[in-house]
Amino acid sequence: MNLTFLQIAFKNLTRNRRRSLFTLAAIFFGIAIVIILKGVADGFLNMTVESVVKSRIGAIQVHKVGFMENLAGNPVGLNFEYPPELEQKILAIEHVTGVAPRVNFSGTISNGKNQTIVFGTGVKPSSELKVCPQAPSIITKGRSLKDEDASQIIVGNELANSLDLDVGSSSNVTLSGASPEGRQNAVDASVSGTAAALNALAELRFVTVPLKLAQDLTGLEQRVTELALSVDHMENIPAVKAKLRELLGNKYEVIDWQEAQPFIRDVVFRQKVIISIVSVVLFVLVMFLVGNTMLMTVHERNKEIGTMLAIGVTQGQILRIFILEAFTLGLVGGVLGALLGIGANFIMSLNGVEFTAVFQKTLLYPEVSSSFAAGSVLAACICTILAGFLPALKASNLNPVDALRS
Amino acid sequence: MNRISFCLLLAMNYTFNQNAYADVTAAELLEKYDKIMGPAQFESEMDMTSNREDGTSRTYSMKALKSGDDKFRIWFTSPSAVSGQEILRIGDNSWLYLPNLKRASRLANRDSFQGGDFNNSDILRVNYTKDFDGKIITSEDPSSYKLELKSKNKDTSYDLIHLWIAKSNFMPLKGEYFGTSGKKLRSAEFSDVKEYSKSYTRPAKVLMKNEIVPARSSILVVKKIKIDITPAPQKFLQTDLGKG
Amino acid sequence: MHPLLIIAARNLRRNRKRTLLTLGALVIGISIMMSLRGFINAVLSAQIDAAIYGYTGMIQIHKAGYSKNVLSSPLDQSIKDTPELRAKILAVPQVTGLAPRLQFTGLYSTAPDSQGNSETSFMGLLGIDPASEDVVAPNLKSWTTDGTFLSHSDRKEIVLNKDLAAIIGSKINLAATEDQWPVLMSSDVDGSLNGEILKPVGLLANAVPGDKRFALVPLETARKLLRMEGLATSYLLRVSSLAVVETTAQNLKQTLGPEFEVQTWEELIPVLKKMTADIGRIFYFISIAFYTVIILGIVNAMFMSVLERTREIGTMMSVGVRRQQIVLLFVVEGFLLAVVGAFAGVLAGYFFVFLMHHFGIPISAPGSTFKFLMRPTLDPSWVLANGSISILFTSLVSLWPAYRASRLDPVEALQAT
Repeated sequence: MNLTFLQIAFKNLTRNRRRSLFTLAAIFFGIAIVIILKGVADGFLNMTVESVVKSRIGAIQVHKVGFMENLAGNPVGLNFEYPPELEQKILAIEHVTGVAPRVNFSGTISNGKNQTIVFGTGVKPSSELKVCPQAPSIITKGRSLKDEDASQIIVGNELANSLDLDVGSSSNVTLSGASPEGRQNAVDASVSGTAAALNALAELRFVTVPLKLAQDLTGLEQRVTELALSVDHMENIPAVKAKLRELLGNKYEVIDWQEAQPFIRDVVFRQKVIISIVSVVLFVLVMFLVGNTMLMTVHERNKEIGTMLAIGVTQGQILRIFILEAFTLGLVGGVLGALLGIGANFIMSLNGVEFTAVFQKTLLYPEVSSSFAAGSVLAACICTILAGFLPALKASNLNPVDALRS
Repeated sequence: MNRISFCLLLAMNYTFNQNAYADVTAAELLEKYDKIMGPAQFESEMDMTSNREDGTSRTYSMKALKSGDDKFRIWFTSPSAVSGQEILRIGDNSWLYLPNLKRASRLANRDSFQGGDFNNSDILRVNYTKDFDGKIITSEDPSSYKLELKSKNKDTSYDLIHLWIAKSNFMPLKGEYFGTSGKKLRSAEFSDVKEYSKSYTRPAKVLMKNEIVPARSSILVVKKIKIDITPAPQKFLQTDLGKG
Repeated sequence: MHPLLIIAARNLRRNRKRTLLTLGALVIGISIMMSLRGFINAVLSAQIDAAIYGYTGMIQIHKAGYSKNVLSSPLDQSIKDTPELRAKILAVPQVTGLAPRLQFTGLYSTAPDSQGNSETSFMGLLGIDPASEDVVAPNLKSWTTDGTFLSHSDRKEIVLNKDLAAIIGSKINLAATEDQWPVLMSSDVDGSLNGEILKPVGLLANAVPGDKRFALVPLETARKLLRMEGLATSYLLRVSSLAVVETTAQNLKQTLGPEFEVQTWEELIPVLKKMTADIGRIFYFISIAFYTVIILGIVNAMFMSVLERTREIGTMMSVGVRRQQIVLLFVVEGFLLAVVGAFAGVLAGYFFVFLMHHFGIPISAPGSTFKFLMRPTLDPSWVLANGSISILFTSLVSLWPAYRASRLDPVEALQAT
């Protein structure tokens, strides 16, 4: 029984190619756009977060208690031990993909003629690359640090400019600092690269130095002031935080990127809201347009419906045929559109699309979500069916004579 | 004089002189330095001139009162911008009294003391006997002892110090101050030895140089100083700030 | 032409349902695109507004070399704030306001509590003249979350960043007596320390990226503290409209000469302009995509119309109506549809945007101190462009069914049902 109806439905569709193709095309384009848009939107949100998280701060940070609230003094006073066993234990936590030790300190930098305050971070380049894979993107000149570097440093652009520093061994500087107990020290360094600040309003007098150099400068030996962690997916951050708190106890504070950079958190939230609104509105618009097309299509066939009624086809059978037609259109158009949409997102995600995130240029990688695509196709089918069903219902309720006449 | 007597005389002379110089140990030299440069308590009037790398310089005149290792108070008298300001240091805490506010505020960081002009004077804050192990090493200058001081603990500002002390009067002549990396951070020249009282003689002038930014230097001149005093304890209370 | 329009209108009226459905698609499509554009404009302009009416101003003037120098004391490169200089700047055409600012750092120390403890914090500070800021950067004041903004240029007041105040424990207590007020200490140009006792009067939201260690103080109070009477580190300017910023900046550079540096807000935060361009680009693609869908529906409708009127077309051709005229007729129908649809769509769009603008759309992150109120606006030239393009494309695309109509064989057409 069903097979016959399907054949009828199919014949109806192929009989009027223009009509079917246009409806199909509307669904096809509509679904493709919706999927591409969602992919780009999600990619945009990720990019905004990652531009900060993966280039500078890391998803999660660990400090000695009181670090974030320490406003007056040198951050180096709140340091802690970081033995290899601790690193192992942290890496063993589920969802953690990397941990980078850091030493935050303040001191002075001098080119022999001038001296100014500087805020420094001592890092281990190989760990940093794991936790902040986009870190090299903030380097404007020269190169980023490598594990073998002993006295090469990265200097902020404006600072390098003010102190007449250039990349290369001819540009030597002296970094001075003090241990928490007051022991002065100074080391000579050469500039291997210059970097951009987080944004135009952030601290411009910063340097990034090898971890050992920072530890020597501040007399910290094997100790650090901060651990930055990366996770496999942002959604797992709360779980990882909980495990870290369990592991480390209450002498440490564990924060995520939102607490470290509340301004970015606010910006991302606003963007999410805006993008959601835009996506929903556009999705509804597409569904509306699809339904609109179906409505017109079916209205056109009132006479056809009248004819069917006249020859004795029951209302139920008519409706079944129309639903099948609508469903086929919705499914075929939807699936093709979904394929186009996912394909486009995938291709764009291979190399990324150049974009401007919160304050810097990065690449946008659209998300490829098959679940969303499937959902859209489903929504399209439902829409088409509804849009095809209702006018067919109305027409089939008519007196066959009136229907024939319309 | 016959030859034997002459030789005996020479021998006696030699022995006598050796004894004179072999008597002094590094520890004794350090003790002498501490007594000269860091008496347990003193009351003084001094000028500190700060030369910055942009060519400008500023001279602060002040009165100071010290008691023990950890109590120190300064009254600024000039220039007019700072006249009436006082600084009280007890241990690691410092307070700044501003006369126009009639209030004392805690200073968070030693370096914020008068805008960094005073951070060369770290070298004056040392108690060598307590914090350093001394060793006499060969001096480039035969009229002075050269001491190598190695820090005994992590709390000293400098890890290693070279100190030249005059053999004639045990006055410090020169100092070099090194960080843990071995880099020379500061240097000092002591000069203008003056007798302030029957029992107290010391260099009136200390020139301190920042070896990393050589254009930065400070000069301390001690105009008056008395060490045989008993500072009143209430002078080192926060509540006394502003009372003169 | 005129009779053609009448005929086209009549034809459209004949199949009410289809015409209405097509119009519906156009109206809803256009009005929604307009609403979205207005919304996105609101988002972009909110960010730009925060900058130009808040922290950067439209144009900034410094002593030459100020921006690039990050060494110890920017106070060395300050502007002599004289009435003559101000008059000179205000005389430049299109300049509508000038606000002097003094940017410096200091140490903030709360009054000792019962145990004698006090909290201290280093912070970045901005000395401002509330009256001038009202004209040039009114947003600063609007970012106050608690208490009040600074009242006058010479009062002993301070407005703190809200998060910083929470950490320090500085509560806004307007009834506090002077001995409970905190002290702000700073080094003057020569390096001597000075201090002022200031009353915390208000808290500021995190509207600007950067350190929470930030506060605002009145300009004259800051000058007294830093012993920098008559000096400023920057001038913020307002000009009559965003469009003239560039030319006014050029004028200012000429008028002031090499002793000063003049920067526009776009130079200060180049990313904002790029973001606007990027988002414009995306919206452009979205628009094209959606109009494609809309137009597909319209074309479909027109084909249906042609099909339905096959006999009529056959009749027309048999009475001598030429093929070109048939084409013209259908194109005019499409054109009419497009014009009415676009017109109604634009009206509806303006209406929605007006509603959103009137009530404002509040968006603020949980836990954030800054409330964002979006007021969508539309650029009339954009609306005009969009409307015209949709009319143009719809008309063009109606050529297709029109052409098919004209290719009908009159004899066959007459025989159709």
